[in-house]
Amino acid sequence: MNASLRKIGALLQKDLVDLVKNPAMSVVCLMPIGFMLLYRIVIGDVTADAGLDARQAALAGQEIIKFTLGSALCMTIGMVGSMIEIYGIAEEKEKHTLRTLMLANVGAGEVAASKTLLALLAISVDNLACFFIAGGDVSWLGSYMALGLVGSIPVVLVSLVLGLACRDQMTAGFYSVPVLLVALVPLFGMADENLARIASLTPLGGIYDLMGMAVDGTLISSEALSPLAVTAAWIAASCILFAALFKRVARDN
Amino acid sequence: MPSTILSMEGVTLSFGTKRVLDGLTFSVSRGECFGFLGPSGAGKTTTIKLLTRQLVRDAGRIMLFGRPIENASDADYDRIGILSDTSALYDRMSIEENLRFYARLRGRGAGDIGRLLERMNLAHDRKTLVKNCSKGMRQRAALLAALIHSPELLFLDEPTSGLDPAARTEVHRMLAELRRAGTTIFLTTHDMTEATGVCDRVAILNDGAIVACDRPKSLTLKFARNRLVIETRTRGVVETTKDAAAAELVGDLLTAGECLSIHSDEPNLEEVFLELTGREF
Repeated sequence: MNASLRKIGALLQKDLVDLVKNPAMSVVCLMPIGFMLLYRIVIGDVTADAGLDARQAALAGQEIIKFTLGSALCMTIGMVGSMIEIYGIAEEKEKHTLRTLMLANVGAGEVAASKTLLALLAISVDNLACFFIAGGDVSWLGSYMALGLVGSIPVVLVSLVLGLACRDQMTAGFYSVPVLLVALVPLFGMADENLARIASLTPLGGIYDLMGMAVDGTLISSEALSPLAVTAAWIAASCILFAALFKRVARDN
Repeated sequence: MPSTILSMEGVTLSFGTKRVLDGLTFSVSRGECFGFLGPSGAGKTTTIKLLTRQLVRDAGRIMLFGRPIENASDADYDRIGILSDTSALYDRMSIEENLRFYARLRGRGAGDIGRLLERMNLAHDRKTLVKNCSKGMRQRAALLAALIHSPELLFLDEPTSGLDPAARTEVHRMLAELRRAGTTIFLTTHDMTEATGVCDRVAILNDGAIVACDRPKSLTLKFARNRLVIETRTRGVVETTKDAAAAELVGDLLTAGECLSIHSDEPNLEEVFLELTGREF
């Protein structure tokens, strides 16, 4: 156990250094923050210029912050989670560093643990930055961060399996696009009611809706049961998928 | 502690219908440098993969540290260092950062890193990013990463492949030091000169089967021809046999001060391989 923790610690430290030194990874981690800045600039003035009264402006502002924080969660989890797991592992496979690790008596579980911790850490840091850029109320911060972590579970687990299944970074590109697209579906729920219903059922639809409820102050209510159930179902499905496929894909070629 | 650290007995392995290893039997003693020789495709890397849990045999028995390989624990594998044909370091990290990472991974301090870098002539390049290193530097750095935890048993898969003569000499010097320190080395190579200079014993592999296994010198003597070649001052090159009949001729030439050189006509390992298999490397 101690040896395993020591190896995970060493891997995590190495992965953190590599995350900073890898321009592609760094850019992906900065992208959700960039989008938040853009949202802030573009959407921030909408209510001011729309000639709304104070009540209408407050309501519109609340809708905007719900959308912005929900979007931040989906973007950080979708972009950062999938990129770190799928590309990170695919690069290690392509450059044979994963095999070198295996030959240094490092298990696939230890590599998976390190990559998962790195993804959760990066998602949390990104979420935190996005929260303050979006102008979220500090009273929502706890719920927002917790939803970020819970929502990461299915995306990170599926990405981990896909990363291990990749042969190289080209395959990683092919595998990561669907993960990213599915993660971003809730952002388009505003466009259409039918789309909103479908979006609510996607892996991040539940936490997107729950974030809106946290802003509305209805997170602890019966309304939250449905998105909670959706989120729990996706977590359970991803855990089953991970358990079924991990051993099969964990061997490097 | 058992003197045999590693052994294979009747090990076979097939990929589909192709039999790649056919009844391999050999053993490696503690502190020995054992060379596994053969041309490309002979089964050298496959053998290392079996010994390092990357492949599973079809039949036969493999013993590691005195117990069946199936029962070898993670602690046993912590006593092993492996440099494979695909070993690679992280290219956005420096040589030193990579070695520090592997030291931490292996639960070792970073204290030995400076000494190891000096020994491999990499001390001046310690801060160089691996992506900016030459192939020789990468190979030597990868060897250091495999050695960072002072393994008892070291698997080296063609460690000098593609290296320039100076880098090969560095690696050979390092191997000699490791042997003196008691490290057991299992080395695959297709370089016969390297095997002759570095290994205590060699096994020659051809088409997945061992065709000879002995000390390099013993193998070459076994296939030595019954011929002496004498270079003389005035009579050119004189050839004779090694038996008693030649004694008088050699004595006469020596007495007359005619001898410039006398060579017994021993084959090198490459010629032994050719003799054994009818194939060239």
